[in-house]
Amino acid sequence: MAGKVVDKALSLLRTFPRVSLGNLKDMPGSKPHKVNRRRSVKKGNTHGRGIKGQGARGTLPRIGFEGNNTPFYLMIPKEPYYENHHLRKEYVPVSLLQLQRMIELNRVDSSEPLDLTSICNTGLIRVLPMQKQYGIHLTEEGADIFNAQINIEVQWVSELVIAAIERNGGTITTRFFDTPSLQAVVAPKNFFMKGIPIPKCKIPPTDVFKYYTDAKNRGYLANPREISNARLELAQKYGYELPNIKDDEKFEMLSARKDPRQIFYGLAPGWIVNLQDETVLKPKGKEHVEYYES
Amino acid sequence: MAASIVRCCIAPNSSKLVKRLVLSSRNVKQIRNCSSAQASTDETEDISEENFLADRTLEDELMRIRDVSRLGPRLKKRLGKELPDIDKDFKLSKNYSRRLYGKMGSASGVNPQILWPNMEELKNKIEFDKRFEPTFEGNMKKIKKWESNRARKLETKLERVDKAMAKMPSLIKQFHQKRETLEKEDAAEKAKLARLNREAEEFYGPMKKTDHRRKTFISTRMREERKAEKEARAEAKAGKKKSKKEKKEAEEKSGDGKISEEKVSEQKLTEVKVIEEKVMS
Repeated sequence: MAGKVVDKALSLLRTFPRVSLGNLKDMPGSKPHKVNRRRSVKKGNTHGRGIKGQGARGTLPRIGFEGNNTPFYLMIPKEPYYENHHLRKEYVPVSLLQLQRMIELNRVDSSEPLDLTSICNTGLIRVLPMQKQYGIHLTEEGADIFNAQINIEVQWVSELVIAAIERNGGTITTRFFDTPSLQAVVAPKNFFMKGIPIPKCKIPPTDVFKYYTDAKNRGYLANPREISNARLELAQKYGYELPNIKDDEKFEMLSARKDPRQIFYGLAPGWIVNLQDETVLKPKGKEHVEYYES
Repeated sequence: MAASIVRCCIAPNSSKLVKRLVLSSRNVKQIRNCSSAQASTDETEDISEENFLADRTLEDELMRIRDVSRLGPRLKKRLGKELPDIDKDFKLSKNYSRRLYGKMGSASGVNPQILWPNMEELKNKIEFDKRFEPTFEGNMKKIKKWESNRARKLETKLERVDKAMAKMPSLIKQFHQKRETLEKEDAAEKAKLARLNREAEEFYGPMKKTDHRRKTFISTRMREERKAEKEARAEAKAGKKKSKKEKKEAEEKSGDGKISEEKVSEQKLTEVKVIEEKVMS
């Protein structure tokens, strides 16, 4: 990429205007700096301080004084410095109670795998990727009354929430989306209207990488065998019998997972969905296929 | 692309054609399909305004009267889902074409190949990813390094704490000792002052605490005492020195029997010198 800079500079030079009298500048020091301007010319009289009063006599009150009001700088206490606030990731909280309510009111279809797209499409939850929000955080409220069997994919969970879902024979995965992918995930219609290929999701950055490779958090990059062990361990810890999902009717739905690169179920990165023609366009070129599959 | 054809159509400086384009509230599809060959044939026709109005159907006229939306031509087109005019440069850009395709599909006339990055862009993308995107293994390595660093730091800290804690009992002992000695010194000072006060009152009779006589008495006495102490210390030192000297002398006396070789050689040298002087004289 270093060569690009040189190219850019050269192209810039080519587009620069020619040297002419219009854009020449004097040599530094060629014109003497004028000093000793006559006082009467501009500010000779009162030197900008008015004729009378506090200003003229130099008896103005101290800076910030509001005439016996409690001044602003004392009224509003100072907020302490929040280190690395511009790097922190925010996850929109969604409680298990809210999720239960959505399922019971048919705002989401629990017979299919739930993910961020289906939750955002309810219109009840809003995720703003441009404001450093990175998805949803499934919180513990309503863990004791949660009774749906679901396959859900969220961005952040606690141990209790995992236990509440797995006790009912469901499965949960934590999944990271980078910002461009997240923009597509939270508003698919708007994304498809842009007419650009579905992005391939990047791997999580280093600060959250450990979270998504950990089987205890049911991370999408964790070893599946470790995850099944962790499911058993959690069941023993919380004292419930783990339902065998392999014998379940819904096994196919419960075991559905996306590829780490994939952001929509059934759509691969690199494809283009056109809503007007109701078609899906797939790249055919060898390089493109390689790029989107790697 | 269709866009370039449209541009060609408007560009020729034939006033009649432009007049026609402006007069009719244009059907875009007609313009887009209009080729340069058609344009040349149009030029030969003699088009008057009456002629043109006669072309309009009754239905068109009715639609014109019924439409009370007051929308401008651009918004009217948008409402009818027709293709927008290409009147600005940015409408020829790749991004706009992509959006147009997303909105209108194949009816937009955009070549779907431009929806994907071209070969050069793809190459740049791949190179960028290679340079700046973290890899799975790289991330793992980084995390391991962080963790080992954190563990090492904790270990060194614990070691330091253990070392310091081993010193703790002796330090506590020292602290108590120091406090005791300080207390003792303090008590001695107080007792001394009380004694001097008593003595001052014995000397001058009862007086105020702030009396200057008391103060001068105490200060002079203190000075005297300090002087006496100093002298006593000096005497003790001198006594020590004296005893040391005596010891040394006693040692020397005991070792006098043997005259050292150096002394013998010195004596010999002086004898030689004396003889020489005699000879010279």
